[in-house]
Order: sequence, then structure tokens, then C-alpha cells
Amino acid sequence: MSLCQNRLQEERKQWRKDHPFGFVAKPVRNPQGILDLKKWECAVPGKDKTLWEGGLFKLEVHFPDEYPTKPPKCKFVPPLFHPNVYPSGTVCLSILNEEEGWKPAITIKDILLGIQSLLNEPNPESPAQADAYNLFKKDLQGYNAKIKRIVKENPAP
Amino acid sequence: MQNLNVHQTMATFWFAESLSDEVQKADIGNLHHRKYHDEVESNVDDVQTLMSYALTSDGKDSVKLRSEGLHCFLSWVFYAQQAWISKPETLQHLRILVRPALECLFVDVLETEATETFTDMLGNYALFFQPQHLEAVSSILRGPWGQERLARLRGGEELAHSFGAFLLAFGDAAVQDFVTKPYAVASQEIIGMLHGLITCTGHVGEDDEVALLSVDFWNTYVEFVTDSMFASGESPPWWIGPAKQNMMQAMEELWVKLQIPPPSLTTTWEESSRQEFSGFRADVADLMQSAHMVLGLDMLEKFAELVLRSLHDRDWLSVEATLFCLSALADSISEDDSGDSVLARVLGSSLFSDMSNADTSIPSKTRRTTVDMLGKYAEFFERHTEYLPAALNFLFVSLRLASLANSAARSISSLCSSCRQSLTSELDAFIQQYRQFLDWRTADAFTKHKVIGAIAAIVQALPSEESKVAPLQALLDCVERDVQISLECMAGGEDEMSEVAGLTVLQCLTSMGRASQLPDDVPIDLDSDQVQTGFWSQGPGLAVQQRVVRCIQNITEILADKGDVVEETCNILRTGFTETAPGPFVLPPSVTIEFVLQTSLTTPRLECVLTTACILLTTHSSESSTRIEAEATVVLQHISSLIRDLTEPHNDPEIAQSCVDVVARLIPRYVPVLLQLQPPTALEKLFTFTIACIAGPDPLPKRSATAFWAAYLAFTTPADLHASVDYTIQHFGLLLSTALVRQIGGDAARSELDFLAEPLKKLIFRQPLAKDWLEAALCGAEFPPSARVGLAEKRRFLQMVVGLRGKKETGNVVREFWVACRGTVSAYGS
Repeated sequence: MSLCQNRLQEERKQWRKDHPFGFVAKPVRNPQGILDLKKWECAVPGKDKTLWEGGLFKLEVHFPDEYPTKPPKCKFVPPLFHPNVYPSGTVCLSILNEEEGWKPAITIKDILLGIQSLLNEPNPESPAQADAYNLFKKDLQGYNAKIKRIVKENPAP
Repeated sequence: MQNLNVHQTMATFWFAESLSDEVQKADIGNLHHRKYHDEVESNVDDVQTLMSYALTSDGKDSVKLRSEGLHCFLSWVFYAQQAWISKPETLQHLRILVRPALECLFVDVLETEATETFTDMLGNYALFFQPQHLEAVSSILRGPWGQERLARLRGGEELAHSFGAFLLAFGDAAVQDFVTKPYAVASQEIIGMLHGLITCTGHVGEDDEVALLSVDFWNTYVEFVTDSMFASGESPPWWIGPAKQNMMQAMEELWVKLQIPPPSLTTTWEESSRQEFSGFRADVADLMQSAHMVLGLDMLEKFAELVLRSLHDRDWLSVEATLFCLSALADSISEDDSGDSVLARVLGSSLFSDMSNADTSIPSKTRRTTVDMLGKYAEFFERHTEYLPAALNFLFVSLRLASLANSAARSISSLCSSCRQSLTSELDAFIQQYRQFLDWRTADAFTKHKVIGAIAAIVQALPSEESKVAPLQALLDCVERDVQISLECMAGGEDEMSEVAGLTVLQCLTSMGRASQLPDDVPIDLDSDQVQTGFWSQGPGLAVQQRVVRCIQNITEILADKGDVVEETCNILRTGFTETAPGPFVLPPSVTIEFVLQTSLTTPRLECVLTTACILLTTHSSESSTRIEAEATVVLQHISSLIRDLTEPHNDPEIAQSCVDVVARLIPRYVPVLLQLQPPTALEKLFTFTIACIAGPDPLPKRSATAFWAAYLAFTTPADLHASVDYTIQHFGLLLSTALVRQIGGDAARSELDFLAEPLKKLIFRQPLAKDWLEAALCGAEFPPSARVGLAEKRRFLQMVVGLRGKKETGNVVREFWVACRGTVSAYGS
């Protein structure tokens, strides 16, 4: 088995043994029932005591063949209203950037926890979508109200 | 060893343990570290002697020594996992110690430590154990020692939990054996014990930790079975029967554990207990989805039987648990109709009428799970519309309960949208229900917009456009109630109430607009389109459109300064943009244009309005769409005045960006509109403004402006426009080059380089003069004085980018030059 597959098996094992509350992370099965370790369906809950509390946001995580040398690509499906999420849904986060903070030792748990923190702590230095970025910057009250509506539309079970 | 006193022996152990811990830190793949590992390996004899001495020691210090021996053993085994994976002879020195280490299990004071040591090794390095070792572990577990501990665990004794973990770790390591040798006594006994773990007394979250751990083991089990099944192709493995039986038994055992404990217990639960319990439920739901791959319909049958039995017994908490399981399986089951007859037994049972009953003994959690489950079986109801009325009736009843209203509204929306075709005959009843619902306390913006959208979806499915008018008018009557409230509140000085009602109006309209869109899965009837042209914009449908527009105007007139109102208005307008056929919410472009023209720099969420203008232009840019030159012209004039008022992009980078985006959308279809902007000074200002965006510090306007220029420079000019387009490029070429070069020369952030490279490529490809402009920019006073490059490097850069003639490698050249200018490499191009 390749390094990528080995590592993903191990990630899966560790995740099943212990994962943070409310998070989901599992490889998908193709229609024939075969597990595709390189494509995971995940979900990140909003952090308690933040605007995002009570929401659950779905993500697709794609691992490249070069993983863990290269980072996976994380994409909110459907795209999420957030300053650091591209209109396509792709998350812009330094630990997911090969040229910035990615390290092979970063686990799926680290990534999803990182994304959870990002929800309530957007990074205005690297805007990825104009809609959320503009509102966040210019009308924080309006931004907060909008987040509350989004949480209501995407409730955690 | 015998000559050492106990203190000396202990010190030797500490040294041995630290040695393996420390040498592990030296990367084994690194050749420079090889010597350390070789040295350690050559001492394995001594290590074995040392540990063997400790693990078999007796006498007064034996407990101390054996405990230390276990530590040391674990540490060396984990070192061996990295260092000796392909060295069975070396590993043998450690493997020989398994048996004496196992003996520690029988020493009272060492039991927990030994149990944890083996749990750790089995869980993390199962391959260390050879068949004879696994067999030895198995006999201990099955023997009196194991049985006694299992009994204690099942009796609720907390200390026995480490035994549970040990048994599960062994299960994980030896799962292949249990599955493929189902009739071997050892397999049967161990599997029996593993089932025993799930059926312990207690509740997850409170006093049952082992059920939680069991889920992990059963995941391994199910996965092994699934993989073997798919690997074996057509004929399933012979052991599949007993394997399925075990899985089904485990599912049923877990189902019991899923049941929410009675309120007498849960009311005292702390948040951590609640979290643990719902985390457990989520994990089991996940496991059930995997198990369904193997168990298929049998599993569905089992849950159907359980739900009917629980309904009969009026055991609401177990009804809840079963419906929770059925929810978990919804995605896998509802894909095809093979499970329909079983599902029909559940969804056609007394479930919904029972739940619609005001019986207070039914926990609200059971109703809530029923509501949630319903929304997930929309596809089943599409195939079996006969069960829809009872389900929807239940959902409407649930709308009344505060704790259920949101979920019920969501499920109504999902069911009505999916089953719209079959609900058209019930439309009047729905509208009637909706009117009643408006008087309930649960009718807020969220529930109203969900439900009105649901009904509008049914209207959409009506066969003729004529028949849609009356029900839409009826729904608009309801919407206008909130318009009225909003106006009255505003008149009465209750601004906040006015805004809430106003937003509700707009959200309801957005929801209706979305529901009125043609569903993706409906074939477009090309013939009927012809007849309908003009129905909504001039004919009988016009009244509906006019009412929609009036509602919007009423609200925006009094609440134009509210960002949410502006944004929601945009949402309504956008619902019609993507439609290919006329419809009630496909409003004429003039409605959008008028809204855009009302804005100024002080309009909240102006960016949102401008983005709406962008989308309008895009939808009218394809070959088949109608041309809207006149509208594009007034939009551009408005943008031009916004830009004039803004003066500099940096005064409001967000608006600057949106303005540039609108201008960019004029390419290619409306380039003539762009070039004819009057007066000519306005055009000059507009182009200069885009370049100022590139030169400025703000990332988003910069990105948009680079995209604009890349598109403009790549625009294939028709003959009649050639001269004007060329003129603008000649006119602004130097200014643009200066801005680009300054950015690439170190002003830009690294992440902006890809965007900046685009117009550069297009400029070089299109314009022979580009070389001169770039050269002038590189040598001019505008070039960042801080850049750490000299004339030679600049020349080299120029030569390379021009030589590439816009090829994609330009990106790398740009990046390297930027790095050199920033001074993060020693010598550029060397």
C-alpha cells in the first residue's frame, strides 16, 4: 500500500478511536461499495458559545496522491458564507496551504478543529469571497445576524 | 544480574527504557542515525535478559521489578515496531517475553497495568503477536480469569473497564479469525463475550463506557466483512451467514443502548454526559450505515419489526431509537424501491396518527425524531404518495409546537418540493392550513418562509400557467399581511418590529421565487414555451408580478437603510435570473435596474446590489439571451458615478471591487456599451480607476481589476471595435504596465502573484509595445526602491517574460522575480 493509503488508514483508525464531539469524518464508498480513502465526507459543528453554535457544516475532503507531503483540499458543500471560504466552497486556511503552514504531521482532527476555529475567527488578511468578507468588514451586526440565519438553516442533529 | 541490589536493578531498567525512548527519536530513515540503531540492536540480547529477569522475578521485590519490566517491555515493543519491522530474528528476542508478561495478569496488584500494556500493544501493533501468542491471550480471556472479569463488568464494576478495553483490543486484532472461523469454539466464545460487552447494564454518558468502545470493534468487524464480500465477487464467502447473524445481533444490542434514558436520569446529566451520549448515537448511526451495506433489507426488516412492536407497546423511547436508526439508513435505503414494501409498513402504520395525537406521554424527542426522519424519506413519498397526507398532516400539527416548528417546517419544505406533482390536488387545503398557521405563535420568519416556499413548489407543478395565478395571489395575500404590519409598525415608530415584518415579506418572496424555478429533473417542453411568452409579463400573470414588485417596493421604501432588506431584495430578484422560461418571478430586467439606480455610496450592502447587476449582465451575455444594451448603459453610467464619488479605490475597497466586477461583466457582449460611456472623461476615469485598484494595497479590488484587464486584453475584437479597443490599450498600456511591475517587484503579497500574472501574459501576447512599457516601468521611478534587484536582474526578467509570449510559465518567472525583489533568495537567476 502506498504511503498515502497507509496514512489514511491510520487516520481513520485514530479518528474512530477518538474524535471531538459533533464532528463527522469518514471516507466515502463508491456505488460498488468500495471505500475510497482519498475522499472523505466530513462535518464541522459550530463551536459552543459562539455565533456558530448549533450549526453543522458539511465538507468534502480530497486527499492528493502526494498526501501527506501535500495537504488535502477541503471544500464546504454547499459553499459556506464565510470570509475565508472561496465561492466554490474551498477553505482558505494557512495549515492547508503547502507553501504556508502545512506539515505532514497535521491530522484530520487538527484540520477539522482548525476549520472549526476559523468559523468564528475569520482571517481578514486573506479574503476568499467578497460577500462574506465585505459584510464582516463593514457591517458586523449584519454579518452576525446572517450567521445566525445560516446556523438555523444548517442545524446540528 | 543476581549481584545487583534492587536499586541498581531498577536504575538499569530506567536506563533501558529511556534508551529505547530516546533512540526512537533519531529518524530511522536517516543514514546518519543508522549507527545508533545498529548499536542498540546489537544489545538486544542484554535487553532480553534484563526484562526476562524482571518479568519472572519472585521474592519480596518481584512486584516492583515486574511492573518495571512491563514498562520497559512496552517501550521496546514500540521501538521494535519502527526499527525491526523486517527483522524477525531480532523481534524474536522480544516475542519470547510475551508469555512471562502475560503471567502478570494473574498478579492482583499488577493486573490493571498488565491489562493496559496488552491493550496498548494489541491496539497499536497487533502484528507483534504471532498466532501462538494470540491463542494464549484468547485462552486467558475465555478462561476463568476472563469470565470472572466479564461478569464483574456486566455487573457494573467500574474497575473492570480496563478488561473491556483489553477484550476489544484483542477482538480488533483477531477479527479475521472470528469471522472466517465462525464455528471454532474459541471464536464463538470470544464473540459471545464481545456481545456481552454491549449488553452490560448502564447508560452511555453515565456509567457505561464499554458500549462506546464496542462501536469501534464492530466497525472493524463490519469493514472486514464488507471488504471480503466485495473481494470475493459473485459468490459470497461461505461464512457470510454467521457473520451477518453476528452483525444483526450487535445492531439490535446497540439499538437498546441508543434509547434515551428516562427523564428521571437525564435531568441530572451534565453537558459532558449529554455530549457523550449523542456522540455515541452519531457513531452508532455511522456504523449502521456501514452494516447496511452487508445486511441490506434484513436490517430494514428488523427495524420495521422493532418500530411496530414499540408502537404497539406505546414504548415511545424505543420508537424514538428505531426511527433514529431509520433516519440513519435513509440515504442508503431510499435510493431505490427495494425496501419500499417494508418502509410502507412503518410509514403507513399508525405512527403519524399516534404522533399527531396530543397525548402528553409522548416525549417531544420522539416527535422531533419522527419529523426529522420524514424529511429524509422524500423519495419514498414521491413513489408512494398514498402515505403523504398522513405524514404532512402530522407535520402541520407539529408546526404548532415550539420545539418542533423549525424541524417540521424544514421537513414540509423538503417533502412538498420533492412530491409537488402529487400534491397539486391538495393545494387549496394547504393554503387553508397556511392561513391558519399564520395565527400561531410559532409563525416566524423562518417557519413562514419555509412553508410558503413549500406551497409555492406545489403551485409550480400545476399543469398550466393560468391555474397558477389564483393560488399565487392567495399566497401573496398572506405575504401582504406582513407588508401591512411592517408599514403600520413603521408609522407607529416601532422600527424594529417593522424590520422584522419587512424581512419576513422578502424572505417569503425569495422562498416563493426559488420554489417557482423549474426543477432540474423536469424535461423542458419546448412547444409549450411559445404559448406562454408574455403570459407573466403582459398577460394574466402580470398582476402577480406587479404585486410582487409592489411588495418589494413597499418594504424597500421604508427600510432602504437596512442591510438585510437590501440583501434579501437582491435574493428575490436573483431567483428569476437563471430561469430559461418566463415565470411569476422572472421579472423584467428593468425592475433590477431601477433598484440598482436607487443606490448610492451610503446604501448598505451596496456590493450585494452590484453583484446582482453582475449576474443580470451575465445571464444576458450568452448567445441565446436577449440583449439589454439600454439597461447595460444605465448601469454603467451609475457605476461611473459611484466611481466618481468614491475618488480612490482605497476609500472603500469593497465597493471599488464590486464596481470593477460590473465593468468586467460587460466583456465581451457589451464592450461597445463600455467604449461609448459618456462623457469621454468618465471612460478615462473608469480605466484609471481599475489600474489604481491594481496599484493599491487592497487584495480584492486588485484581484477584480486584474481579471478585468486580463479579459479586456484577451477580448477578440470584432473589426468595427478594433480601433477603439486598441486605442484604449495604447493609451493605458504604460500606466497598466507600471502598476503590474510595481506589484510584481515586491509590493504584492505572494498569494496575489497568480492574479497579477494573467493581465501581464495577455498584454505581452497582444501588444508588441508591451516590452517597451515594461522596460520603462522596470527602470522608472515607480519601481519599488526597496526591491533587491539591479539592472541585470530586471533585464533578465524582461527578456524571459517577453520571450514566453504569454505562456503559462510566465507565472513561475513572475514568482521568482518577486522573490528576488523581496530579497528572500541570494541571487536571482543563478
